[in-house]
Amino acid sequence: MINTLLHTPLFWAALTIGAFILGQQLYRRTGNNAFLPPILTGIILVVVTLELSGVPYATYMEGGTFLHTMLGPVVVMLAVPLYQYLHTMRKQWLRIVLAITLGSGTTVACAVAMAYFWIGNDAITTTMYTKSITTPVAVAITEQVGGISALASAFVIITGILGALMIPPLLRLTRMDDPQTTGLTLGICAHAIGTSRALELGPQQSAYAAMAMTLTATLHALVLPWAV
Amino acid sequence: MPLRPHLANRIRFYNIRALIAEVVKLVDTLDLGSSAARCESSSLSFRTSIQQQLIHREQTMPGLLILLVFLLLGGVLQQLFSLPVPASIIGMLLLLLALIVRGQTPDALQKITQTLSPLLPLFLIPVSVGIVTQKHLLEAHATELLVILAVSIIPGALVSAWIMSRGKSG
Repeated sequence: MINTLLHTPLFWAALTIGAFILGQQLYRRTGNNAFLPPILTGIILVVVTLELSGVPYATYMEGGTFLHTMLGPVVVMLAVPLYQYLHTMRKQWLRIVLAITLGSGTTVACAVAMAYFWIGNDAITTTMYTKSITTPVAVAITEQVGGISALASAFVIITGILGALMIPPLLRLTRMDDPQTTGLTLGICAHAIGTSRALELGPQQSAYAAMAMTLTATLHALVLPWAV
Repeated sequence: MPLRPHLANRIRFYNIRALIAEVVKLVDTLDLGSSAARCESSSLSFRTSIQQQLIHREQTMPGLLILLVFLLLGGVLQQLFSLPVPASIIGMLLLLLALIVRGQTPDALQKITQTLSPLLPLFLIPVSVGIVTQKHLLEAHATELLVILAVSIIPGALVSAWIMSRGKSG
């Protein structure tokens, strides 16, 4: 009986949605804690279920693919906020473009160089290129450049949590912690999780973080496939 | 507990809907059909245009259709010119271009964005769960990966913060 259930694709789709709802509940109960994003709780719950039941990932994905298909239209949808940010950034566009290009370039270059010399695994090095992009775009790009999507998603989420944790104190320490700078830096280096951390800091921070996140993702999406 | 932003949006959205419902009721009782001069088509009365707006606001399908059309366009262009950029990114840039040309975001797109944005993480769970197939890599390099991911943030954050704050406070 249970074995039949575990091999029904719809069961895994339902379980994923259930795990995500639990993740959302936990996130709300903890006062929207940036370190407990619903996606992380959701992933952990599904992974634990898979490990305990011994069901292979391919079987899971027969159900998961229903949800996965929606990533395409969702990435297209990012044009809507991007269009709105183009208006807000008009005044200081040069400064913003430079900060995004050089800042995200630096963090990616450091990560790739360290992975290349320290670990030396091709798949890991290639996947490292996408570590500073918001997850849906990172996954799309990784498939294109020959990295491992699942690894990309893990790198991006870990980067986001670490960035949200480290960036605000780092900027306070170096006295570069005005609201716009903090927001922009969180968006560039910690994408969506950084943006939700910025939301706790203030409206200006979160607007700049969301803008930086979207622009970084667009820039990397255009540059990486040619560069890697 | 602070209100989540999309929740705040949704509440505002419901208020707009309630407002429109009120207007439609008002129009129903007063019959303002004659004040259709501002509409282009003479057969389209003020009332039906408001009712259409109401239907428009309640439906997410027109917006989803727009997204799918642009995604397909992106896919066609990608195949045609064998571009290395993913179809969804090309679709996004085409949509951005269309929005810039049009000068505003259509209601249908606004609506689908409000509906889909909170669900974005859900759509990412299946691919992320694929981490179970990479256990060997993670077990072999867990410490190195964590250190690399943590350390590489610092120079990037300092560079972007320096550029962004330079000459501003002075």
